[in-house]
Amino acid sequence: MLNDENDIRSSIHHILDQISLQEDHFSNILHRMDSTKKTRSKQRSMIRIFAPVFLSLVLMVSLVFPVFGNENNLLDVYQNYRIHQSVNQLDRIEETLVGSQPNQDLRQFVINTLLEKDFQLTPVQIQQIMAQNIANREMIAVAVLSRISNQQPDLIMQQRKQSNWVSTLRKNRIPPSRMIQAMKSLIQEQESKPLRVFLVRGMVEAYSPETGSIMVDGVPFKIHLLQDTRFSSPIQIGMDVDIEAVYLPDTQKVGALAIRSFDPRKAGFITIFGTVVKRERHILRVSLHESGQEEQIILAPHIMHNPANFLIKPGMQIRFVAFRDQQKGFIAIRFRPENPPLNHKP
Amino acid sequence: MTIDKEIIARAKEGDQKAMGEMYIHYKDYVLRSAWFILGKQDEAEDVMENVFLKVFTHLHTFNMERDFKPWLSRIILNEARNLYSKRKGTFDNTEVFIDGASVSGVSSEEKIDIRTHLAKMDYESKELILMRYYQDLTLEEIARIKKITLTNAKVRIHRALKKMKESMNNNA
Repeated sequence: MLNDENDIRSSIHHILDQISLQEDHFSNILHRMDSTKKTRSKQRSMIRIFAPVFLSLVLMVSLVFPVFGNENNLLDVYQNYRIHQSVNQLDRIEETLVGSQPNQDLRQFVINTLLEKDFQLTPVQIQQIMAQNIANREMIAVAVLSRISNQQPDLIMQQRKQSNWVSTLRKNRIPPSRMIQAMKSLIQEQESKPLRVFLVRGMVEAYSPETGSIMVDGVPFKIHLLQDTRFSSPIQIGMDVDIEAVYLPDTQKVGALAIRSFDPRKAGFITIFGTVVKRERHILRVSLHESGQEEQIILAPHIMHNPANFLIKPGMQIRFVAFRDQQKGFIAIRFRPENPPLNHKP
Repeated sequence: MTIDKEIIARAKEGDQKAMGEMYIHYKDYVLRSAWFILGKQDEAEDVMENVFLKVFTHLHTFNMERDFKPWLSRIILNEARNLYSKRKGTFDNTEVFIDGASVSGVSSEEKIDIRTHLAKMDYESKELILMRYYQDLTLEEIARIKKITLTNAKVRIHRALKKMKESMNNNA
């Protein structure tokens, strides 16, 4: 009986060693290789002849009949594919910007800063785009189109949600080649001089002068004061700040270059105090303290994973920082369970 | 069983002499591997021809920094599986015995036993036994070919071997 692996190995080898070829196959293999080559070459020439004819026919048919949807023909499908390829290339910007910064939590802040500094979008406009819960590359593409078409980004975002890139470009009278070129230039520009300083905005949640660190509401990392950090006013817990931050690779920390107080209302945001009446997933009905009216407030996608989100329940008093969306109503970008101050002005 | 990489490089460039050298070097290895899985001489020869055709036409995709044997083994297994699934077949017992009887030097009943048990084995176990005990691939190479983890490869080979041994002990 075969008891160990070596027995089995040698027996298998012994049996198989007795199997041998009954005729030579090499010439047959070469012959088959040759005929395979010939067949492939024939197929290639056929494709070269018939593909343009076939494509022209499909193009003609697609111009007459809506085989690719009402607004598209074959050429549009191809152009759409090219634009998508270019939009995907925008990921390279993200890599350039955040590549040297291993902390993945910084990613969104760096992208938002790019949109604000290079594209002059307002914080509200950025939040409006972010509230659509789209990939960063799509956000950048919307900003690119907004810049070359002089159109509001939220309008472009709306058009983009309803149709594909080609139709969106057509509505804004921008040829696809111009959009592709603009995205290429942006990639080249960012790769040659990547953004190093980024903005962190929010309410100071904790501040320790001893350790020289600040925690900002909704920001998952500490920000450290540097020897030459500039202040516009003394830091207090609960104040809204705008921090010019930089990633320090040596210590793997985020340092503050400048801290300014920031008034969300001046930037176009609204502060709302209210009592939660009803909650359905991320949609809240809130009774506003100021007017006594009930309003619908939607939590923006990027705050849904905030642990405090799971604690919101009817009866709770909450302060929201929000913006007004024309279609959906208030969209909250920050919230904090708390009572309104006595002298609160909405 | 390894071949000079320079020969593979020349075959990659389309040198028919190098292809011939590769054929001579590996023909028995390919034929015997196919026979082990399929159990028929004519089918094993068909598989062997297809394997070399694939090897020579796809050699340009082979990464010269890697080992050639696992690459070849993967092609053998794919081609054998293609033919096996075409005939939706079972291992042809009769022919194995006829083959066995006609092969010179088969005197031990133990060897015939192995053939009998091979015929009864499931397809995957045969593949694993082949790779481990005839093709002498490492566990890492087998895991990569089968797209399973190293631990999983170890476990499956162990089971296949156990099945084979149990079947043989029952018959003994």
